[in-house]
Amino acid sequence: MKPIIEMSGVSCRYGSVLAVNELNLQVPEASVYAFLGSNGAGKTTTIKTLLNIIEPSAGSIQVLDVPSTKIGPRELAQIGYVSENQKLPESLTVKDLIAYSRAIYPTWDDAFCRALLDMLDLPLDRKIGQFSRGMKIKAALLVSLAYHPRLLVFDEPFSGLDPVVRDEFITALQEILKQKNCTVFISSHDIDEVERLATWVGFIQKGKLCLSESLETVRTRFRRIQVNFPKGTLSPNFSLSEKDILSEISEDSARWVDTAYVDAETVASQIVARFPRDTVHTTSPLSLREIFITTTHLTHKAQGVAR
Amino acid sequence: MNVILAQLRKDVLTQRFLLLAWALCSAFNFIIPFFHINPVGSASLVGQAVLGIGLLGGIYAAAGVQFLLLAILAARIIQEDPLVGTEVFWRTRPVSRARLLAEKLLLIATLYIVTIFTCGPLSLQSHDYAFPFFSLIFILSFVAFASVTVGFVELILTFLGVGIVAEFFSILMYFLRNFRLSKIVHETQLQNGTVHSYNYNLSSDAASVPSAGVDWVSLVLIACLVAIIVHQYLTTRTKRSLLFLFLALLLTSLLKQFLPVN
Repeated sequence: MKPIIEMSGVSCRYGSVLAVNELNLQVPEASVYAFLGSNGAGKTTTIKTLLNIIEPSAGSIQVLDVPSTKIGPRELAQIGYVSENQKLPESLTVKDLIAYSRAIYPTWDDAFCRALLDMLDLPLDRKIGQFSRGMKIKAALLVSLAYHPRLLVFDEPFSGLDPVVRDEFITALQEILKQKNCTVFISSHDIDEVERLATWVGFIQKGKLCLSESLETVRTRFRRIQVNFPKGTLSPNFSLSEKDILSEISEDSARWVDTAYVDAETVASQIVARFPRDTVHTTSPLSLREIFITTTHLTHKAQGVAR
Repeated sequence: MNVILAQLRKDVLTQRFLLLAWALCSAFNFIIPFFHINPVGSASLVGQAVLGIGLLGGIYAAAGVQFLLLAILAARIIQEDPLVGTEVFWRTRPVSRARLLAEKLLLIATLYIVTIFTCGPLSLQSHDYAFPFFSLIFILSFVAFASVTVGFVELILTFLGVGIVAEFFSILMYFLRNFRLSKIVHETQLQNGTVHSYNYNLSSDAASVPSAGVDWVSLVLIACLVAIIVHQYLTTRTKRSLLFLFLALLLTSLLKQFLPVN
């Protein structure tokens, strides 16, 4: 299947600062792609380039089979965009905003809009300028969904939202995604929240993409391995190899992260080869947060070696 | 067409209170000449004179307020959908830049035409064409500056800033030119052996500099302003538009000083 977003060698420079560095990324159609990175990693810049808000300094982007620099009203009518910083027309009420959006989107669905209004619990006659941050995000979501976009782009949608609103937002989004077959590209540094939605994941660090895979593959590949030694047999001088990522040694056990886990048998044979026969080992999956920390650690290590 | 109408409706809705004030002012200024109000009712001549001056002042003030409201409205209509910044709502919506520009200009042009026909003693009805012409320049300048700024305060500060810097450069060039000219004249006179007392007073020179050709220069300014507004809407390259604005003001200021009378 052809990806809905395809970036090749995209770089973005602000003066002497390289915000995005040779990004190669593909977002499959009908996926929920979580684009994760710490603050200032280059997530927002990447999103702005793919929506033609800023031009990349190098490389090319295809969005909905159109080069990003050629994106116009026709493509934008199929894209929904919700951002923490987006400036909605604050002097309009929700009702006015709906009337305005209905006129500019040919595929606007009134019935779906009413359903969304109920789900998001937004007051029709209040001005958007009087809304809290959470309600503004909900209003943006309403006018970005009611025309059935093929692609939804979220830039830090959870930022500044209280936990209750976050939960409502995610539940509403999950509900909508169940009904509609659209692609979601969501950037965030709130990894735990995004994990509930994502099917694909990309990590960006200092403008460089460190990982881009399906969540299923990533979850399979990253495993924590713990080896328990018989009581009192572990020598005080025992150490793990440098290849063992994020290793920890306690009284009678050693732990590390395996980033190339295949299956239990392979790990068992590796353990047997490395440690005495009477050790017991366990493997456990990592959360997305732990996978992100591991990848960040690996990136820093690689950069250290490169330096 | 749908997009233009939707934008038009949105702008009218968001500016409704200002529009109402402007409409009331326009109606007042349009109606007042039909009443033939005169100060004859007063008992004394002094009273009649005071009443007359008061009435005239009132009519001019109402015209001024109407024009001021037009300028504020023009700026707010432009800045309702700003062209500066990357988080602007319309930029991620299916609104073409050309249509947005068309809608904004259509609305402002309508308000402008109504204003110049109803603006009391300053209007076209008084057969004084200087006001409509120069008010067009003023409104276009306001629109151009509104398109490169966010908010009214920033607009005023940028307007004053760019205007003052352009005028400063223009005056500087004028002085340099005059200094060079007077030096050449002085040296020529010395070579000819005719040393006369020569007036180096630049202010008297300034008086002799042709000031005509203003209409022609104003047309150049209008063309420049329209080009800058179109450029800003179609490219949203604010820094470049701001530079063009500065150059346009400098150019017209220089043309006024250096162009021959006819």
